[in-house]
Parts: sequence; structure tokens; C-alpha cells
Amino acid sequence: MLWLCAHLPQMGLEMYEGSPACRQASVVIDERKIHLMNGVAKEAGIALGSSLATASSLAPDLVCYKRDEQAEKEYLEKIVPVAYRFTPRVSVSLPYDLMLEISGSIKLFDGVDRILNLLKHALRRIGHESFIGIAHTPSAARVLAHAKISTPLPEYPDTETVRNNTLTCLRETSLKYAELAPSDIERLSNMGIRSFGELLNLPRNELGKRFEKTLLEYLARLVGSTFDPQKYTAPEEQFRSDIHLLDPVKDRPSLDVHMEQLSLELVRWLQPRQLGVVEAIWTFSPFDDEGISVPVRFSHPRTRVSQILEFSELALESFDLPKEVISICLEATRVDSLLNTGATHRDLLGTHEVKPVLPGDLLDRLTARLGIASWQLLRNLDDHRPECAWSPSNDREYECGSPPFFTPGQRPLWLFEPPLPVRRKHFELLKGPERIQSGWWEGNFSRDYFVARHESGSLCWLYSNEEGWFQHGYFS
Amino acid sequence: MSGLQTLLSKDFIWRARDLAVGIESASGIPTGFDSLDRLLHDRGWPRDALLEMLVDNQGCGELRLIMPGLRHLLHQDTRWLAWINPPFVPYAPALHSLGIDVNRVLLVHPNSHKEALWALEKILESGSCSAVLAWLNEQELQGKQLRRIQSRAKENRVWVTIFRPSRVARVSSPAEFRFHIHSSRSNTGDRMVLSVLKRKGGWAVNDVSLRLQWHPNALSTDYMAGRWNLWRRLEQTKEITRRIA
Repeated sequence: MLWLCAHLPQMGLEMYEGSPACRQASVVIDERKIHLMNGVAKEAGIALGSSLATASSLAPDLVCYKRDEQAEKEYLEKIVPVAYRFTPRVSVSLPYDLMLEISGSIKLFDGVDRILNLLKHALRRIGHESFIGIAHTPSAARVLAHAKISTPLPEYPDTETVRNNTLTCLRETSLKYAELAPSDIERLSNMGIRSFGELLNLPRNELGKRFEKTLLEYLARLVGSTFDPQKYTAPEEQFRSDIHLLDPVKDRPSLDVHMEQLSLELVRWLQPRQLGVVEAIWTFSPFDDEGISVPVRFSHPRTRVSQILEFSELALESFDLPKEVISICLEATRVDSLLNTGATHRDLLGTHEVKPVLPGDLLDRLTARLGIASWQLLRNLDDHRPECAWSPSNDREYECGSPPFFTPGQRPLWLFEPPLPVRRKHFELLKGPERIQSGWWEGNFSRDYFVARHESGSLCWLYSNEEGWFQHGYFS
Repeated sequence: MSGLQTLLSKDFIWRARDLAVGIESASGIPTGFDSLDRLLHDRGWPRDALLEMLVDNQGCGELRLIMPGLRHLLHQDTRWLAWINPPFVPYAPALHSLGIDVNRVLLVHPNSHKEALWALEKILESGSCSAVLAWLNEQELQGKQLRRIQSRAKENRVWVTIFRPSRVARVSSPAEFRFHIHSSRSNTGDRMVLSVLKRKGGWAVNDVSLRLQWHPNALSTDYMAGRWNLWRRLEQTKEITRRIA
């Protein structure tokens, strides 16, 4: 087992800020004490643990967030998909750690260092600074990550090397990073024991007599002499994510930023599943009213942020958004496997085109801006009844129809849908009749079709039945 | 001198002798009508231009006139044929009997003139359609919009055909080709008479009579023989040029 702990020390603050390049002092307070702060606040001389009043006096324009542990937990679970790229065994360790078991992924990613760099990079891209510790047990990895110590490891380490290197590193590490009760740490410190090395050198039996059992258990988990099971997170079955804003958004550009963030989350959710989104719903809610839902449909599963955004923005153009949006929600209502589409237009030998390639981008653009009813594809059906010999479709699961096996008479290029009642006297019959009849089980009609010329010279397709004369099309 | 040479090498410069020699520039889409091919500069429908079809009544063969060309175009590659705002339903079995691949026909029904222009432009830009047939709202259609369609068609190499009433014949238009289809009171669907109001590389021609076919699923023998002769002459010219070189 090889454990990697990604410690996000500033996550509690970064989850509110979005961009790390904030030029204003900001802090997170927990029980009226400064819990986290950004670089600007630090420069202003604010110290962790000081009171809000002290901080405000040092930085008058201080932005202050209240710590919400439930929100922090939800947020941490939301960024787990970043880690699924590296291993399926990911667990969340509160408050600010992600634990990854990476022994099975080293070869795939060509070395521990690459996993480490890629993970750091991926976390930085979503706005988080991270410190990573690697060890043979979860507890040791956590200690190393918190202490910001990187274990020297070969590219493909075996368990024994990791164990030895971890224990060497731990020896020098201060005990304040141990997950022990603060009172225990203080007592040990009073006894002159300040690093893990000193603690581990003490005989366990004697230590057990003087401290609670939890200390021995912790040490056993730390060095790996007892098993430390972790609860792996399970990926969400459905995608739905919202952003609740602190200040209402009034203009489109700033709305776009948040939409991009949600799309990015959606893509991160889709990618490890090899899925693409086919239908999604955006909901934009004002402060005190029902939100407006904007559905977006795609002709085939989409996997790119840029495409999802482009078609979503086209769809937004035909909706009136609330003046002030306070929360944005994106829900994927239909997803589909990427395996069913894409490169599989051809048959096995690649010689015969099975199905025409749908102009997917174009259709999605039309759907987004003009609505799903704005376009149609045509299909031939093998049926002798004129109105049943074709069918429109705007389904992405579009199947080619079969052309009619046999068409006896002439068929017009323009069809009237429905047929138009006409006066016989305006027409001169040129050819006909062609009798078209249907059975009692399919509408029961019998019509005599004629090719006729209208007074203006237009060539028309007429039929007569017991109800009179009808025009069914033009021979254009 | 070199300035003149570069100018002459441009596509849009037409020289009268081109039409006389003609056969090298058989780059158009064969219309399916030999007499019409001969009138057109590229020996066929344009591959990258706006064409106006002026016609007052439906049902005088205006679609059957362009169907052989469209069929040829659809057979060439995998691109689609788009119909924007068609006045009625294009009837799939009839299209099929004229040799059009119905599975690559896209119908667009915009709700307004603005939407129609938007859709037309997107279709041209998408590169997924090789030909577009459009019926636009005459009340709102402006010259600058037509100019934009023409330039977009040129850029993206799409054949755009717009159907308009014949009363706009006197209004100038940026379209490269304009045809007027005469409606005849004794129309039997076998013949049609059209005037070429405007064409690239030539003057207007009046009263061209064409024989329309009902089921030209296979090209007519006469027409095929004509194309064959043209191709042979082209090969012969090439051969001669090669020998001289």
C-alpha cells in the first residue's frame, strides 16, 4: 500500500475566493477567532487565532467569511473527482485532506513523481494550493503532508523502501502534527519528547501505562503494525451541482465565469465514466423567487467545456434571466456512453458507410438558438399511403429509413400537409386516375389521384374522394 | 506587367476567350441539361456562389431543374443538403426517385426572417452542407443581406439557391446567377422555358427551352454521351499540351 495525502491548508478560504489573486485581505473565522487568512491579511499583520476585532483594526477593508464545516465537507467531496483520475481508491479526511491509495497507479503514470506533479497541477487549476505527503500508512502520509515534508522516493518504490524512508523522515518531525489530543501533546512536550523519533523510541508497554489506549493505537496505525481501513468515497450516480453566490450577479460576463466552473465540474464528472452529456438543465434563481430553467440538448454526447458552454449560451439567448441571480444550478438529465457514437459510423471493414455522419455541431447550434422543433431530418418509409411514406425526425438516435420498394405513379416534390380542399373547375386533369386505397385497420380511405394543371400553369397533385377534391402537392 | 499577370491569375477575372475555349474550366456541377451546361461559365451550377431562381408559381419544374445537379453534388462527398424555410413539405419518396439521398437532407424551419438569416449563415459556416435551398421573406430581405450570403457562400464553397418572385428581376442583386422560370399556361411538366438574366462570363440569354424528366434516376443517354465527349476532348487537349511540352 502506498498512500498519498493531499493537504489543502487554505481550502476553507479558497472555496469562497475562487481566484487566488485576490487583492483584498480576507479571513475565515471560527468561533470569533481567525481560522484561516490569505496572504494580504498576513502582510497586514493579522495572526491566526486572534479575534475579529483585532483583525478589523489591522485591515479596515477586511472580507470575512464564517466557517461552515458542513459546507467545507460538501466542497471537499465535490473536488474528489479530480483525484479519480489517478486512482479509484480515494477517501476524504476532514477537514482539508484528500487521501489516495496509489500503489496500483504508479506504473500507469510512470512514476510517483509524475502522479504527484499532475495532482498538484490539477488542484492548482481549480484554485487550490496543496502539500503532498507520501507514506506507507494513511496516518503517516497525513503527518508528512501537514509538516510539508516530502519523502525521498525512487521512481518505482517497493513497500520496504517506503516504510524505511517514511520512518526516517518521521524521526525529525515535530509532534505538533500528530493527530493526538492537544493535552497529550503538551504532556509529552513537558516530558521533553518533541519529535516522532523520540516518541517511537519509548517502550510501548510503559507508554501504555501512562497514556490512554488511543495513543498506542495511533502509533500502531502510524508505523503500520496494525491495519487502518479507510472509507473510500463512491462516485455520485447523477450529476447535479449548484453555486450559491454571496453577491447577486447582474451581468452576463460574470455569470459566464460561474457557468464555466459548473461545466468544468460536469466534465470532471463525465470523464472518468467515459460518458458524454446529452441533455442538461441550467437553473438560474433570483433571491426571492422561483428560478428559470434552461434546457440544453445535444445531438450526441458532449465532453468538452467549450462546447457545453457555447451551446448553453446560445440557448440562454431566448430566455429572460432574472435581473439578479443568486444561485446557479447545473443538472445532467441525460448522459450517454461515448462508445455508442463517435468513431463508429463505419462498419468493421471500414469500407461501407453505414450511416451518414450527422452534422452534430450545426444541429446543436440550431437547437440551442431556435429550439428543438426548428429542424427536421427526412426519412423514407416503405408505405403506399402518400402521407405515411415519409416521416420527419429530429432525434439524435436517428435511423435511416428504407426507401419505397416500388412507387407506381408520379410523386410530387412538394407535399401538402394536410391536403388542401380545392374547387375542381380551376384545374384541368392531365393524367390519372391512380387509385390509392388503405385497409380498414389503417385509416380506411380510397382516393383517386390525378396530375392536374391549375389555371396559372402549376402542375398539381389532386385527389378526389367522397368528400370532394383536394390538392395534395405540387410537381415542382 | 507582373501586376497584370497576377490579376489575370485571379478567379474572378473573366476573359471572353475562356468561354470560347471553355472545356478546361468544366469545374461546375453538371446541371443534367446539355444546353444549360453550355450557357454556364463553369459548365454547370456554381459550387460556391449565390444563385437566384425567380419563379412566380409553384409547380413549374423549378425543383426538378436543380435536382440533377444536387444529386451529383450529394454523390461527391458526405456533406448535406439544407432547405431553409421550405413553403411545403419536400416529399421524401419523390426526392428518392430523383436520386437524392434523403438521409442527408436537413430541413430548417426558422420563426422569423432574422432567424432564417442566422441559420443560413451558421449552415454556411459549419462546412457540413454542400448546397442550401432557401425561401426568404421578400418584405424584409435587403441587398446587404444578399451580399453577405454571397460572400459567405464564396468563402465556404457552398452552392446557395434562393427562390424569389419574378417582380424583383428589375432590382439589382449581388447574386452571381439569376434565372427566371416562365410559367406556361399549357404546362405539362415535360418542358420548361427559362431566361438567364445574369450569368458569370456572358450576357443574358432569353427563352432557353429544357426537357424535364420525371424519373431521371439514371442520366439520359444523350446527356451521358455529351459529357463523355467533353471529357474525351479535355483528355486530348491535355495529351497535346503534354506532347508540345
